[in-house]
Amino acid sequence: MPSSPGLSFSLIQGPDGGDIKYDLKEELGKLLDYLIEDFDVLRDYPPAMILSFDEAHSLTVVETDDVDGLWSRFGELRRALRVIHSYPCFSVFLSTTGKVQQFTPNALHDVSTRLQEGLLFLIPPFCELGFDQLAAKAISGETTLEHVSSLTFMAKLGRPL
Amino acid sequence: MDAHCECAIPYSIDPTDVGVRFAARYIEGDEDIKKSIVMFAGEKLLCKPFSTAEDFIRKLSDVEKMACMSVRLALEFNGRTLRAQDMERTLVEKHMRVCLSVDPGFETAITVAPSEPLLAEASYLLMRSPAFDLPRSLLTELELPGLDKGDRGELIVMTLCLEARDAAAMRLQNRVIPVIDFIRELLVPGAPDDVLGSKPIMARTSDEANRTLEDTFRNSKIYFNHFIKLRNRKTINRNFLWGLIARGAAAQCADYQYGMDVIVPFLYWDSILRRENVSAFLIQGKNDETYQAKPHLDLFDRMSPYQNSVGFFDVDESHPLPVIRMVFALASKTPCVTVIKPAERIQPERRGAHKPAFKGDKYTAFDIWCGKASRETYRPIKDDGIFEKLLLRSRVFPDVYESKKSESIQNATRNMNPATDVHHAHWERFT
Repeated sequence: MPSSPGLSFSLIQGPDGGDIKYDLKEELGKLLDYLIEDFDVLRDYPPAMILSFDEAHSLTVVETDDVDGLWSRFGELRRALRVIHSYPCFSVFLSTTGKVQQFTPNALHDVSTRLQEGLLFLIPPFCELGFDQLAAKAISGETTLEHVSSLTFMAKLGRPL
Repeated sequence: MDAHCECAIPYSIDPTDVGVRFAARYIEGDEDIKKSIVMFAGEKLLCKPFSTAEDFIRKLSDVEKMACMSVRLALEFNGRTLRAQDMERTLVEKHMRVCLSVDPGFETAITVAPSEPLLAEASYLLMRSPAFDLPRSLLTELELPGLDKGDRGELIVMTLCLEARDAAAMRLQNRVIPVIDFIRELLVPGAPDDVLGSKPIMARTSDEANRTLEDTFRNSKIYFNHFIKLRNRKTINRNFLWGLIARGAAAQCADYQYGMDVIVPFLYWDSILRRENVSAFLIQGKNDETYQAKPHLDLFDRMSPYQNSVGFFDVDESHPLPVIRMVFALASKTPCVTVIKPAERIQPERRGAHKPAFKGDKYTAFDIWCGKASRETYRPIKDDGIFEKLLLRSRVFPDVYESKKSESIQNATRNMNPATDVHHAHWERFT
């Protein structure tokens, strides 16, 4: 995979007057060192952190810039998050009213040149997720009417997330 | 704590917190979140902050009321009008209706109100208020084209059952209600006494033949808070129905289900879910003036739980449970609740005559014929006029003719559909 363009981080003045540099990779590394014992970026882990962006379709508006041409917040966010792709960190973009094309446009229509050239690819959206993923099983001969009519049982039936 | 107190906790959900939903929210949430999960479901259903205050309920919009009714009555759209299409799409977009499929051009969408008991429970919190008039809200929608009404008033049967269930659940403060209490809330006061004291029309054993309905179903309990529409008539089998009970669902039978429109399954012996413990109300709704106060016994025969078309019991079922079969003759002009009784001997028995041994039937059934959608028949009905209109609106034909302004236009319209009805206008041009 081609390396991501370097990200420039603004310097912020701290309370003591000194400059503070926020580096996403560095800060995430510190967090994962804290979350995972003996964390090693070269090893595989299940996701230790999930970033969730709700109503993400509002990020997908494509804008025009005199210098950079077409861009969207979604595209920029994707680029920024790719910096940490080797860390056990997964991002989820949720949308209820968005169009599928906004998140997985045809590669030729994406704002990213490397997507257009086929050097990178997008994860297809997860839709048609089904129901009852977290449901407790009703067991014939064991489960009672009192149990299935409780909120504890009822709340786990239906749509996921 | 009783079941209903679980959601009586003041609403404490941050309305901006929409990142998680039902199951995950419930599992991971603290006690306050767990207790207010039904309120949260209500917020998702209405797409706005939820309240059970009467003023709030009274001000619900038509779409919001439709959202509430849809999740409990499995309402379907016929998609013939733009309004219906708009309503259907709005329900999908904002009110938790599920879109199963759309064609590439977005010309048609297949949408359903699937079984989600938590949403149904939230809807119940609104519907139990006197400010939510279910029959009147249904009528508002039925007066406009677009909602699939069903020819035989299944919708009215489901509405009556749902209102009876809600009344019993509210009175007993429990989601699980005894079958006897359901009957008491369904039928007009006085009628249940006859019904509960009646003997079966047919019985498998002499013991069952001698027991009254009340005695027979003494331990039986119902749990449902919504209806779903079945898509395959083979689902009317106890192998599947115990699972339906687990979801708190009763069912409108699949299209072309011969002889039966609605099934309300319940547990017969005790509270443990299992196939062998499932019995049911088998209900047929007739919105046809042919069926008046005099019972048509053949309609009960068509609801035989052993019949292939119904299939409630397996063909080789050795221990069938007693069932309750009901016909709702909604268009009858005379209100009545008639329990069908076994034929009695006309001649007195001769002294010393040999008594024939008891001849058992294949199963035990109680048959009840209920005439007219009226408050003299059904306890949930408060206003006969609304139900009369609901029945009228359930008939596409002859409404399509009779809604025309003048007789000549009516006849011209009938004439455009020749040989399909008894009115002379369907025939006179060619015979």
